Amino acid sequence: MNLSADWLNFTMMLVSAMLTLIIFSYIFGDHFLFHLAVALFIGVSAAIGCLTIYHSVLYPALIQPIIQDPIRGWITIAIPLLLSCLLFFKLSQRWSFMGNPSLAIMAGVGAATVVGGAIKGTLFPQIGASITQFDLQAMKAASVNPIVGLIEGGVILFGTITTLAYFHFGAHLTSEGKLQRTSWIEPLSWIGKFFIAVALGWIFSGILRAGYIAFLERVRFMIDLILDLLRVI
Amino acid sequence: METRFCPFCGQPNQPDAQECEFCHARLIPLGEIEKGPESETSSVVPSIEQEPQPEIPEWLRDLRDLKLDETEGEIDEGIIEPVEDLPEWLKSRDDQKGSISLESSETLLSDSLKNESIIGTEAMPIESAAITSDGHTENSISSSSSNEDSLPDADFPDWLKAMPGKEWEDDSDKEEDFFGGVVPPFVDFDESLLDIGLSDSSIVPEEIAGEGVSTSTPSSTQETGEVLEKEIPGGLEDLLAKSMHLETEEKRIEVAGPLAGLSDILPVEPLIAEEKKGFDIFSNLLITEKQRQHAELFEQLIAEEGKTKPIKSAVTEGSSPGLRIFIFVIILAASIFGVLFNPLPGKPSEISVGVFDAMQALTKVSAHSPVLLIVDYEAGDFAEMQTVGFGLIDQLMVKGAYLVLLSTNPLGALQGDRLIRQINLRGNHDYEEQTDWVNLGYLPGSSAGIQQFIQSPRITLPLTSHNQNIWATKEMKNIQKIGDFALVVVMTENASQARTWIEQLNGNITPNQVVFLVSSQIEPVVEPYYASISPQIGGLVAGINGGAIYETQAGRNGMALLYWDAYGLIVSSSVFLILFGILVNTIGKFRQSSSKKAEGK
Repeated sequence: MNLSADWLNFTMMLVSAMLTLIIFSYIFGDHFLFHLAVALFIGVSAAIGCLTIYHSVLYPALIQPIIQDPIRGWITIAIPLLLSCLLFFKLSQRWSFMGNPSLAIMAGVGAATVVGGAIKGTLFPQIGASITQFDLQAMKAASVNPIVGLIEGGVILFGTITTLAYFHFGAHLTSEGKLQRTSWIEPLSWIGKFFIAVALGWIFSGILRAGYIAFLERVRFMIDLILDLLRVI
Repeated sequence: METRFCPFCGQPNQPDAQECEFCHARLIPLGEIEKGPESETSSVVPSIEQEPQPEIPEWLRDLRDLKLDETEGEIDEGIIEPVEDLPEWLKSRDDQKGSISLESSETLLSDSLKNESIIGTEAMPIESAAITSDGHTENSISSSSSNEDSLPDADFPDWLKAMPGKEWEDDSDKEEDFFGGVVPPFVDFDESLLDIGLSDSSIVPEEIAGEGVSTSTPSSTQETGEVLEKEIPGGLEDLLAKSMHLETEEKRIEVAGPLAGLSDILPVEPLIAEEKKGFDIFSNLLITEKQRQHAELFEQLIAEEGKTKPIKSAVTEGSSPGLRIFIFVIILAASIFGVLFNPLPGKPSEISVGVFDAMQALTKVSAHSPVLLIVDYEAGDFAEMQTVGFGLIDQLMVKGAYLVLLSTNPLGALQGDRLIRQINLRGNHDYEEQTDWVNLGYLPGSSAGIQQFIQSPRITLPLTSHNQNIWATKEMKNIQKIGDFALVVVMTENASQARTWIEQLNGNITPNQVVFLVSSQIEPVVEPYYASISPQIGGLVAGINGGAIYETQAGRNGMALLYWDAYGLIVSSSVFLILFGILVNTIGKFRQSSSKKAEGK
């Protein structure tokens, strides 16, 4: 048994328990120790992130090629290094325009992938899914009652339309001088609120459940630590 | 205090001001100026003395001074003694008795008539008189024009003599051609205007009649006025009367404005210069009702922009530490009780379709099959994600799959490492790093990096987090693209990240090869991609509920079932607290409203 490893694990468990109790003490109000714990968490997360980026990206992409083959390495990294260095000019207010080419490439490539993925991966498939809800042959193949399937499809379609109507903000001026949406959009928007409320309630309950699990895990950790300490003692 | 408004610019001035402070126009018309003893003289100089002005030409000032010395007590109207500095055409007027008055009156008449008509290169003052006069207007004018030869020849200036079509007497004795032979534009007039009915010289000033000029002074202005009233209508009558009136009065010198120092200036205000109002048809904008409403709306917005809106004082409630502590105690007690005693027996009995499909997807995984495990969640969600993923990963470990970890989150690589060790320990597996599982580490570039990895994983991440090349191993040597993996498992609690992976994997891998292990908070977001008739993912395990069902179906006691009882107890306590809070608030508000009603009565 490795005493140093055990002691290290035990020490880390104590530190973890102490930090857990400090976070729990926030229920009594804000205090210095809570800020200390939060700052510690942020600092450690940032440090790990920096190390990971250096270890996973910077070193293998910029440094290692030069080490392995200087000439070919420099040729390989010339353009990426130049674009990366141009980004540093964004720190200067006067020379920030020098970093625009790099940002333009990043924004352009990112937007292209996101837009292409959204159209091909979400928009068209989801629209097709909304349409195929009323596919009787597919229902038959899936052994779904056609009536039930049509009702489900109708509810889904109605919910989709009313939810989209809620986000329609076009309005016109009435004779009384008030802004009002189109007459047939207003009731659909009102119904759409209920569907949105149901979706948001579902999401909120999920957040609540995730929080319960995190709390439960910490409580269990504390209980296990106390029980282990009692056994040792 | 009353203010006098300028008839030209409309600005207010002092009531006793003579001229406007802003445009220097006369505020008191010439007709309103009271006649003084000096006004009865016909000299030019006394009028200046009555209203001394600083900006009088020197020659005029001298002239006035001279006249003051020479014309004391002279009453004869219409006579202006010659002055040396006067121009010749003006001097020649003095020779004839009453001629100056007539000429001046004619000039006044012509000018005033000119103002009545269009002012241009051709002034037709006498034309207007011709139009408005009755009867034998043209004849009178023509007859008057024919009598031009009988006019005294010494009194007409050259410019008047040089009128086109007129035969003047020889003006050889004329010393100076004042206008150099150029006929002033205002001289031209229609001959028909001469027939205006002023042929009777006994009652009409001889200068106007133009025939048989007599030396009789137009003293009988009243008779003249009567004739004028009979024969000359309208404004012309007023102008003629005014000119007659001006003959008997002193010469008025303009003392204000740009014409200061000049005589015989017709008063513009208020007889001639009429305050004209603008055309009403141009005062209203030609806009539609809709445009007017939009304009009013903009005006309201602009007007309200500068106004400070009253901030409603929000009803601030206290922090209620007692309530927070009460809720914490309840939840803590439920969790401790659930962890220690497991009061709720049993396991989830329902079957989830998503869990079932996920289990079906694992049937294609065999021993040493490469399985890509994407770990994309934060450290704070580790507790829930390990309950969600324990069952499936444990089953993969049971099958002996070769796990390849990947993350688009810098901290995700460490989370994946911790997850595998935790499951390895809990499930009593003997998984070793580098032999049974590897960690490719952090994948940069977000969606672009994901797409690149999907297309060519070897080029994107050639080495692992420990700088080892795994692509040559027996498990990975056949991997050229992402579709070559036996299974792709995505674990995330971020909705946008889940959507990004679904969108990028779409079309590059069959849906049955993709399983999503997600947090319960993003289940509504991922559900449509799974529940459609043509799903984009093969299986879905969401939250501790899905993990517990998976573990129950797989017959393994994992993290989900470990927390299941306490979780159930906490959820029940929360429901109880929420209902209790609703009840307390409802009763409280009911009592409050009833007390207010009682006070109101």
